[in-house]
Amino acid sequence: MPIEIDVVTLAQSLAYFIAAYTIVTLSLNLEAGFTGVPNFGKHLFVAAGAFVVASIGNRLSAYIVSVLYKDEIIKLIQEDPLLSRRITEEDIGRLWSMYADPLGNRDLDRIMDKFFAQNPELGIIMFMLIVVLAVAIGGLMGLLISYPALRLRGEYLAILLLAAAEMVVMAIGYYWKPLVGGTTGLFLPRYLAVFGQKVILGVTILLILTALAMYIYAQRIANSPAGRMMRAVRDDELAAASLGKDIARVRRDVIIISSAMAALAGALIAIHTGSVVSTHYQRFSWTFIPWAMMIVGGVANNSGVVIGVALVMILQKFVDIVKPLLAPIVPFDPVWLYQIGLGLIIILMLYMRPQGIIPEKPSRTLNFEEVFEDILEDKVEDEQAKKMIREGRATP
Amino acid sequence: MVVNVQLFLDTMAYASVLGLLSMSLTLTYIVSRVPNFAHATFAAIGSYMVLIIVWIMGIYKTGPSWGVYYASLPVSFLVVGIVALIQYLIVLRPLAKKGISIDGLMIATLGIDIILVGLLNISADFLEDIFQRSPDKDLRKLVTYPRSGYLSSYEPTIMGITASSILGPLLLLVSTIGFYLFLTRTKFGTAMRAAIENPQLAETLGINVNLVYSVSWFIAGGLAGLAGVVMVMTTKLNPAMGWILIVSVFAGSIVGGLGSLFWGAIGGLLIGFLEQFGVYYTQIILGALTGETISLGNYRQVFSLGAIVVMLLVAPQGLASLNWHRILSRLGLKRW
Amino acid sequence: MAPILEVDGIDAGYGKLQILFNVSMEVEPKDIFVIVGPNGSGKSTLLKTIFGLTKIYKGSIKFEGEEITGKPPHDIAKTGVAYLPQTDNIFAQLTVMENLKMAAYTLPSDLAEERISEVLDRFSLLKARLKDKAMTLSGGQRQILAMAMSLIRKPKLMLFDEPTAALAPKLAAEILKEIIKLRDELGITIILVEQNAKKALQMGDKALLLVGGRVMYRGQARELLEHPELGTLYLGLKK
Repeated sequence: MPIEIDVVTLAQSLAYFIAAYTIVTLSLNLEAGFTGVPNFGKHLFVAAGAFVVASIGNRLSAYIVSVLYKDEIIKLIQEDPLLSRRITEEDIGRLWSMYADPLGNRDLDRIMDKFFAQNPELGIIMFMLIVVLAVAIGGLMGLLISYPALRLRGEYLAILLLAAAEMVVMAIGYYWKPLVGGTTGLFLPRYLAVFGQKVILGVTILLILTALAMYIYAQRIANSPAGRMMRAVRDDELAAASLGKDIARVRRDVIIISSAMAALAGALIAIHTGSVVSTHYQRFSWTFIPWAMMIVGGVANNSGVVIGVALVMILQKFVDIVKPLLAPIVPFDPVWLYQIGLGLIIILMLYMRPQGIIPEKPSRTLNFEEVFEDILEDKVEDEQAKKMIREGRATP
Repeated sequence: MVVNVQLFLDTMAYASVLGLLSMSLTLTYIVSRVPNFAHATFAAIGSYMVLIIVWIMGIYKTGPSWGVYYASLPVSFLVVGIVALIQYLIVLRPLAKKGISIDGLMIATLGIDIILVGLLNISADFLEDIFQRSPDKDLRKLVTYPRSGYLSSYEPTIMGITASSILGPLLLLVSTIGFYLFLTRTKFGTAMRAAIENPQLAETLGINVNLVYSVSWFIAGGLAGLAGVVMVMTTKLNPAMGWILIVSVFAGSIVGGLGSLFWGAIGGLLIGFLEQFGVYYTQIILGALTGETISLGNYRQVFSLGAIVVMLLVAPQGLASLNWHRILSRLGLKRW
Repeated sequence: MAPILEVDGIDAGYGKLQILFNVSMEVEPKDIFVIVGPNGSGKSTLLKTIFGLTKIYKGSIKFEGEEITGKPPHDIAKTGVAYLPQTDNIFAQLTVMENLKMAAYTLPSDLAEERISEVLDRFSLLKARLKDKAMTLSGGQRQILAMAMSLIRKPKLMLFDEPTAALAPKLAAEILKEIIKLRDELGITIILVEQNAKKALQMGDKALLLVGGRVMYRGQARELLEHPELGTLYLGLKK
């Protein structure tokens, strides 16, 4: 069976995934690679961005539209043969809550899309407003976790973050419909109607630009004195304790910024997709895969991370392509093989090349001569004796 | 009624499952110093064994039978024990020996979890396929089970009480006491405690530390398998059923302090009761306030997360670290 | 008499961090051999190296003429060497009796019982505490328990790493007395790393002074004690 590949679509989709994962994985690398925060709940922060867009964004847009453009929206509803029967003029005040409900969402989405097509400027404003909101909430969550992150031991922190993420995504996200419509999900208004038919391409370009900015920021952190200090602290708890407040502030800032970045990615992913379904923000996709990418590429190395992202994404696309070939042969969904394969790759990488494809630049290790010199300074008062020992003459 | 009897019985089964899982998770943590993120999926494997037993032993035709227990328990213990042993021997031990950091080891257990869930998904696909094609009409009815089956309809009852409500606590009790006797009364058990406390010294005394650790992982996996058998009587079967359950299991272990098996079991039990009764009373209170019927069963993990947060803030070393003598005397219970 | 232990030109350390540089020493049977030196000079590392707990880059170690360089600790233990680390030399969570049983882990059970009662006769203070957890013992009692545990395997050479650290002076003296008794009564060769250089040099036969991982002095313990410069320079001994 020949496989037909639409190269343009494939390239565009690959670019989108690579950009989205680059942002998330770079932010994970800032936390885990540089500051030593093992964020096992990364999917919570990506989900947060998407949930803000769907939950707050949908309500806010519908509210603003129903208040500021009441007449226009009533007209649109009346033009729609199905909706005109269901929604009366009195319902306009409830439009914001109807649009965030999976039942009303489907129908109203048509209207919202039409509205933003007629008012693309408002769409851009709403888009920016909502993305800023998502970033702000992501940053706030980062501030929240920086409290335990700077105090708890790594294992406890990993457990706490994973538990928080699973609780929010798998319990509240799945079952509490008012948030993002549970497992049914919510459609989003087409905010970026300005791009016309090329919305997906437009958002992809936005994601690529964000990824670039993120890369520059991460590089700046890595090469700054604070960045070097953070790595030293990550490797030595004693140093962490003694360096104290300054470094704690830098670490907190990094956690806030990387959480905000993950939320930004989440928001853009949602807008790219045009909908938010809680089941898309699972541990496998947005915690495990970014970790796999980071480990494959090289922990605490930004360019390594980008390579890791590209490799894993290319593998995923490859699997997508050969899937139809495998499907008739094996009596199960080949997608599980991809999951199992990724799990194996992580373990094998840890075993064979734990430093990743591109290792972290080595920091200076302890050198015996220096230690020896310190001991001398510390213990021996007499200058003459020091000299003798240095020259190896101090044997009786 | 202030306390709902049926709720209490259901809770006994669920809380015992958490007790077993938190206890066995604590054991692997004491041995390898890494929280095993695949632990709840161990239990899920045990749960799938029950479905396979129901199918192979023809229980789906005959209805409720003790077979679901006397066949599933040993099979699950063995299968999951071996899975855990493999995880330790071919993944965690070589990685730890290479000096991989704790973060690396944790992500490795996360990787194992992904692999195991992938394998369970493949098995579920297989089972669905087999059930669907079967000429047996009764078996065809099982087709939805591999992804969303309640197996409690196949468990027997004792005086009208579902067996899991009695068997769960019994299993927890027997394994706790059995473990206690094994660790204190046998030479190998003592060596196990010695090797866990100070592996270097144990090694110089000629104790085979690796064997001790392997046995610990096998037993821990086995106990998780037993938990899975009881668990499937209270939860829907699904390959990823461990993903949310792990929150409760970790909560139990952290409440217990991740340092003592006994306290791990207590922690798990407490979390089970906290979740179930927390949900129950919150439903009643919210129901009274809003005048509507409110169902919060899906949010039970909120209480677990709360327990983790409170515990890490108040007593990061868990209940085991509290000075119980002082607490009891403050409460005027010293004599007791 | 042939030396029981020969250390020849050892370079050793942890991973890439080298601590010992070209260290050589010979220990005669039934001697008390003392290793002294300032903090961080590699004394404990030397003991660990003999017992196979560090990485050896160069040189050789022979016990009773047999090469033990690079062997794992449990193999070295089987040849008759016992190592008593400064801390963590007992199982604190186990009872005293369980500790002794673990020390006799590899022995057949009748022999184990015999050896345990032998060491209990020697250290009678342990008898009253058999059922107590080892963590309830005082610092001195812990050292005694650790000694008892190594004696169960009837070692020929015992390596003591600062057995009196953190002990009150009176207790420390008692522990050192016990160590001398092990040599006098059982004929065990002792290598002792001690913080209290004066006490150690007084009881020792031979001595080695390590500074910065290098041998600074090797010879009679008494001579080092009376050496005009080295004692004051490195060991804080007053004249």
